[in-house]
Amino acid sequence: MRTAFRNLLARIRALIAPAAVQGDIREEFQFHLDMCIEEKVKAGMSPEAARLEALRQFGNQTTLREKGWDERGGGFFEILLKDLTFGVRTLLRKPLLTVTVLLTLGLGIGANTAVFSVIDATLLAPLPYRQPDRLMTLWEELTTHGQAQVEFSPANYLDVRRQSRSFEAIGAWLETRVNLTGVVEPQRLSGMFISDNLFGILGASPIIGRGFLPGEDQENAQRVAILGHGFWQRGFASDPKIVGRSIQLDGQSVTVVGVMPEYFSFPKKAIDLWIPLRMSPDQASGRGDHYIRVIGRLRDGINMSEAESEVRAIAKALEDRYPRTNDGVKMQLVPLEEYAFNEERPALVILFGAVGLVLLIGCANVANLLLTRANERGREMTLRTVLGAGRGRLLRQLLTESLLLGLLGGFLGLLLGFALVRALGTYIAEALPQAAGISLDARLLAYTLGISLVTGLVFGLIPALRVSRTAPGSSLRGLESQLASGPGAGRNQKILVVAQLALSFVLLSGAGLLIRSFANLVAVDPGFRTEQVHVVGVELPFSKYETPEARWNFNDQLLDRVRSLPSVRSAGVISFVPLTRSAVFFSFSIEGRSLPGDMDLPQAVYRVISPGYFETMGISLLQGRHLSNSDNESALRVAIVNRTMATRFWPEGAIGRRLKVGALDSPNQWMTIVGIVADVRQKGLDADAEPQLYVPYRQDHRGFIAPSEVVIRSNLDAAALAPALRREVRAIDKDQPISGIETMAAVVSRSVAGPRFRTLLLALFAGIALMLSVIGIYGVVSYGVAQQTREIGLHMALGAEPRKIVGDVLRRGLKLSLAGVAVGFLFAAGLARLLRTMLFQVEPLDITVFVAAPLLLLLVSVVACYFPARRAARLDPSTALRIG
Amino acid sequence: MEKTDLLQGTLDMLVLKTLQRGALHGYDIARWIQQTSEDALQVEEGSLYPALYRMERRGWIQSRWGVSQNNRRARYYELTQTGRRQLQAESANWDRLITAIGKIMQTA
Repeated sequence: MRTAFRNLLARIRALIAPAAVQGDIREEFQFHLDMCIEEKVKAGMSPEAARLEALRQFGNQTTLREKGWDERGGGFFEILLKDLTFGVRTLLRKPLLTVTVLLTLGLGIGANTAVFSVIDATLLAPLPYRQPDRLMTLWEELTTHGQAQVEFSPANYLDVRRQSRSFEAIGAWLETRVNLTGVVEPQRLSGMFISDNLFGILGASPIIGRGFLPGEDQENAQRVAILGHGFWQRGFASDPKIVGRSIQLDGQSVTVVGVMPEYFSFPKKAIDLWIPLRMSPDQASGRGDHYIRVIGRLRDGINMSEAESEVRAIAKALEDRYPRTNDGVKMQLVPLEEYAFNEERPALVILFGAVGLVLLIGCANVANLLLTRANERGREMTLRTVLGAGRGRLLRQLLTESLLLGLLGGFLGLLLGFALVRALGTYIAEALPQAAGISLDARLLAYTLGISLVTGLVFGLIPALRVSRTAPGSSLRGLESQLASGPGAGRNQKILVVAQLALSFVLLSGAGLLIRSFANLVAVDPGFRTEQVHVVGVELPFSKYETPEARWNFNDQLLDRVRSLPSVRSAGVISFVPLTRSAVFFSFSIEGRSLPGDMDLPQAVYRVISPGYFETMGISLLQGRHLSNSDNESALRVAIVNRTMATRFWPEGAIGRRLKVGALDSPNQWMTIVGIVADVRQKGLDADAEPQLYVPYRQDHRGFIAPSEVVIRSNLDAAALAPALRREVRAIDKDQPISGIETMAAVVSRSVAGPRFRTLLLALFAGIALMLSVIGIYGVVSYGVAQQTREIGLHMALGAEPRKIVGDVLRRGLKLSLAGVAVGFLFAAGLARLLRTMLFQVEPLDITVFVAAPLLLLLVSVVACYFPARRAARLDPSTALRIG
Repeated sequence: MEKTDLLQGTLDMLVLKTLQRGALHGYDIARWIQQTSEDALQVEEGSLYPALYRMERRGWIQSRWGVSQNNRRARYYELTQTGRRQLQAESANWDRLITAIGKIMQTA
């Protein structure tokens, strides 16, 4: 270490004060010579003879001084500088080659930088909590329903929280929406109910004010809230005196006690405000509904499996104690770090692999180009060897050149990578909101620098080793021809090209599979009309619209007003539109079939709707009748079911049958089925429709399932519709905000943002790979033709037809690409298996993809080879024979 | 007496061995090697210097300017800890080599 430091100092000294270092060497040599002469004179030689003898004994001073200078640190920067200048000159002398190499590297490194920046901002970014690896999320598992990883029921959560000894603390969270009222422009906010200890568990604290105090989540405690940084900036102009101020949430006064820091988010997305999670005794004792998310911090010295077995034991005890509700309810732990990105990780890992392949393909191309150039430079290298340059010296020069290329390419890649991230900005933001704020950080820079250097080494080493292996003894002339036609000259290139084509095939087939899958996905009929149907959120605060009547009246007025807008063709309200929030499932009993005390009831997605909903959404009525305004609170209870529900539970005919929410002995009223509608996709386009149950909104008293979204059929666009809607809503209640308005097409599109993102990227990378491979095979075949100019000329002079020449060249290219496809097939099949979980209605070894991808590869290879082939066929035999 | 060219790599060892006696300048090192070997070893004197610089770069020896017996500025070299260890390793190696070669030569 000290030696390395001293050497660096010596190098720097040689760089900034070369005269001093050289003077030292000169003085040392002179001292030696003087001593030597002195001795010889003493022994009786004449001074002149002594001087000559001393010089002879000493050796060639110039060479020695140079060697000494190199050893004394003079060499390093000097050689580097010399090599760099020389490298730059060489690159400038072949601008086309240089541009090709730099673009190739730029694309490869750029794609890597782009994907890494996304990974950097998501998977690699440490979660912003204290010791995030000790944080565990807890989930229930409803084995009787085959549902893994569902939320906790409140009572189960409280029991685990009380009984578990493996955790320092256990807390809960629950996302919600609240309305900011009492301001000029009411707003709908994203809120989160949290247990009073949640921030403590995460190790996060507010930048202003305080966190929640113990007991602030009790029912009778003072109402308080903590603001998110973004909302504090946006809504209160970063008012530093916000703490202690009172704001109106859903018409109720709440005191702001703190503001969270900017970087804080939990679990993933930004939240406008946090409110203590309060539960009424009724709620707190419920075990049937699962909606609470639970997190705990492991106690020191306890590992995950110990904690999990304890939690499982607690679950078992609860099963025994509450068989009615807890039968088959298990519990499991998922580390927060895993939970945070469990959906995105596989796709990102595959994309990362894909860009790695793209870069490898790029490296192969560049290595090929440099090999070709190295062969051309054989003469230069030989000359330098003859002039005394050692093998190491040549190797160093060549590597300096390729590292220079690598770094320049890396710089270009950084720019291209950022351009790519920017170009894909909206797709990234949709698919991975956490990656929206990608910025240049040290890790990203280090990564790009690292792969640039490694790339430079990888593609530089093969040609460099080849060139510097040149035997210095061979004559210049002989060496050159040996390099040009030696058996090894073309082989390396061919291997590289086959490897490239194989890797391209892997990417092409992967992209093909995802594209097919995505096409299948978007071709799925969601079951509703997507064009000209707008959806807007109007969530009534429970505290203000406490009674069902108040909510019914509001929605009646709202529908009247909206329907009377000139551009509106129809409108309806619903508790939640498909493909957005997670659905509310209710269990139900069937008249004449369910038994009293029956625990294992069937479940259906439960929605309340107004008349006009199906018509607006274009959901067709298959049987029976639509709802009408007379289906109100004083009329007979009715329901509409979807086709799946009807055929699954009443294959003999559903119309006129009766069912009720909950168990047979529950106080809920019987509902008569009056209509059957088509299925709609609820969870996603790739998920089959589940039983769906619709109930007229005036026949449901439950607050939490009340209509909160309005669907409107209108040929106006959202921007034109929004002001009118806002005006109508405010005319009814000046404090009532509405959320952003969007079309159902946008809702559908958003639901496939993830698949779209990965398909787009993989297709893009496969395209780049294909392009690079085409350049690669073109280069090798062209080079082969150029080398064989003489031979081809001879063939033609002997009467070979141009067609045969073209055929020969094409065959050579085709052989390479066939070899590439053959090798690639094995790897492609492997990748396809990795993609399996991301495929929708496509087999991993889809026949279309595995026929189309090789065909495409062969086709472009043939096209790429056609140009050199034509050039060969147009050779003038007499000229060709004279060359070389 | 016939003169032998130095085996490649052995110059370093000889220099290290010589410097075991203490700090010396280049001329003394060259002389000492020649005299001790009774002029049997032929060292091209100048090539000693790049070797010295290389060994210094490797951290085996260190140098400083000093004053020679005849009152001239001269560069003195001395062993470092690393150098001492290197010398030990090389001598051991050398002994093994000599023994091995000796055995082969005796069998002939």
